[in-house]
Amino acid sequence: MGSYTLHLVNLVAVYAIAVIGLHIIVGLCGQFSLAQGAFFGIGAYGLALLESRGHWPAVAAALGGAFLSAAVAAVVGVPILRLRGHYLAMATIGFGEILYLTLLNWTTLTNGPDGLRIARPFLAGAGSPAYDRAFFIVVATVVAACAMATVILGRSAFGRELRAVRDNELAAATCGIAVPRVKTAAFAAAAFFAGLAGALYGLLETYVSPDTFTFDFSIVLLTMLLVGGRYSVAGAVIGAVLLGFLPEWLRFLKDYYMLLFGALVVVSVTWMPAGIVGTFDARRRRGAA
Amino acid sequence: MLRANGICAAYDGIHALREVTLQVAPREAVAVLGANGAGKSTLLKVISGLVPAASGEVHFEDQSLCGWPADRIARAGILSVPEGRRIFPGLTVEENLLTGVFSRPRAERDADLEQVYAWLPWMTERRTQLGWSLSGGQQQMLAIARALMARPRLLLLDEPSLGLSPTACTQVFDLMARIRERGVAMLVVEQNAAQALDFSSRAVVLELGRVVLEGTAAQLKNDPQVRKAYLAV
Repeated sequence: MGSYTLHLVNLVAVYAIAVIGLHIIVGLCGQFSLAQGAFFGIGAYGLALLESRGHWPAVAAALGGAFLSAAVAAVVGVPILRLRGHYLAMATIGFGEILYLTLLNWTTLTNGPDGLRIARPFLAGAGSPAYDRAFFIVVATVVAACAMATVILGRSAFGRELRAVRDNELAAATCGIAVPRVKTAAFAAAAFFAGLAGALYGLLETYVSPDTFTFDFSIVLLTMLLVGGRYSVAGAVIGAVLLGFLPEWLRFLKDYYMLLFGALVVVSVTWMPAGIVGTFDARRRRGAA
Repeated sequence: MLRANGICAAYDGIHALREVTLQVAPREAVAVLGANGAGKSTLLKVISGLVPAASGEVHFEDQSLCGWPADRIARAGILSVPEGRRIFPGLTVEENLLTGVFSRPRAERDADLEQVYAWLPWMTERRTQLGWSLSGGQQQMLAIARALMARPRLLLLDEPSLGLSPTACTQVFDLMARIRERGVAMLVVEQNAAQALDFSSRAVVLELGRVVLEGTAAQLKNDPQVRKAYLAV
């Protein structure tokens, strides 16, 4: 594998973690979030600040970024998760914009558009093929752990409550489920994964700047989930891999690649509303019945 | 057991309930009759915490339920089966049932589950099927069974027979009768007044948000006004 490809594989693995998190809030709990990219940014900046200003070791700083992201989501989630559907989507977009502008303009903390450098990633020789190979082992382990944890979560009693809220909020409340608490917990869990992914992104690139964590990035993450299949962890991973590599595979199209990319998204969402995995699941179930 | 005193509620400035006072004693089944728009469903929604009361108070076993959210009222023992068979379509039958369970020992939970399956044998073979694949009557029975899994002391049923075939309707009322035998108090809103009066011990009649008549089921069955307006005799 060439060093460029390996770097791309690592990047896709990082995205997969954020998309698995998105599956918790969108697929299991049924709440649309267009702020996953912003929480990714909080994780990345959390890592960068804790590492460079706080002099934390890289692993502790990465976890710190993830927890910071979850904490922000828990606070922001209380008011905005009262909203539903389009209004909730708008509120999450608003939150993402506020975060982007904060990163850009709070120069004393974030260094503004110049971004922050991560000086001491957890291994020496960042950017070298050896670093990327070692990073791959770490990130692959994290992806596997996140995937497994989310599958277990989905099948647990809490996962059942999430799916009950998704299916019918009113009925969930009459079953004794504290709907606002469940939604906020799901939002925070999704943000934790996004924050963890963001921190890993920071360790991979050793540099973070505001323009990575824009609204467009949140859209990309959501598209990965919808195309892959929002109702399963496998769908989240497949979506991240597919849309992560697609730009490479379509490179021969040069500037026209966005055209095909957009068309693929429209086609998959129109004819496969449950995503790739959801569509195959439905086929299999029909075959079995 | 349940005392509602002077409940008023309004939607968009329209008074849906005016000074409604109602009591349910332990083990009692009370029917709420009335035409469309009389405020029957609103009354149940106020008691279950889905709609706030503008004034008045609901007491359950000497606690005021004032300002309690719906989930807390459910955990206090008042379970409601809302109108329109609101089961969880994306959850399996068994998951639907388990959603009704609050934290209780596993053995107790499994015993309750066995009880439900013993009462409704068709559910056993469909336990892994998704909720949406059930028929209307089955969904209604699942919704009632789910409420039962929470070991309610008071069950609120909103139009349990709405849109069901006569056979399914009989099955639903059979299930309700079995639950009643276990000593669960019930408040039933029902369009089908004859069936509701046969099932209940007492009834109230709502008109335009007010209680206009109240009495034992036998009294109301023989009341000329009720016979004319609701029993069509």
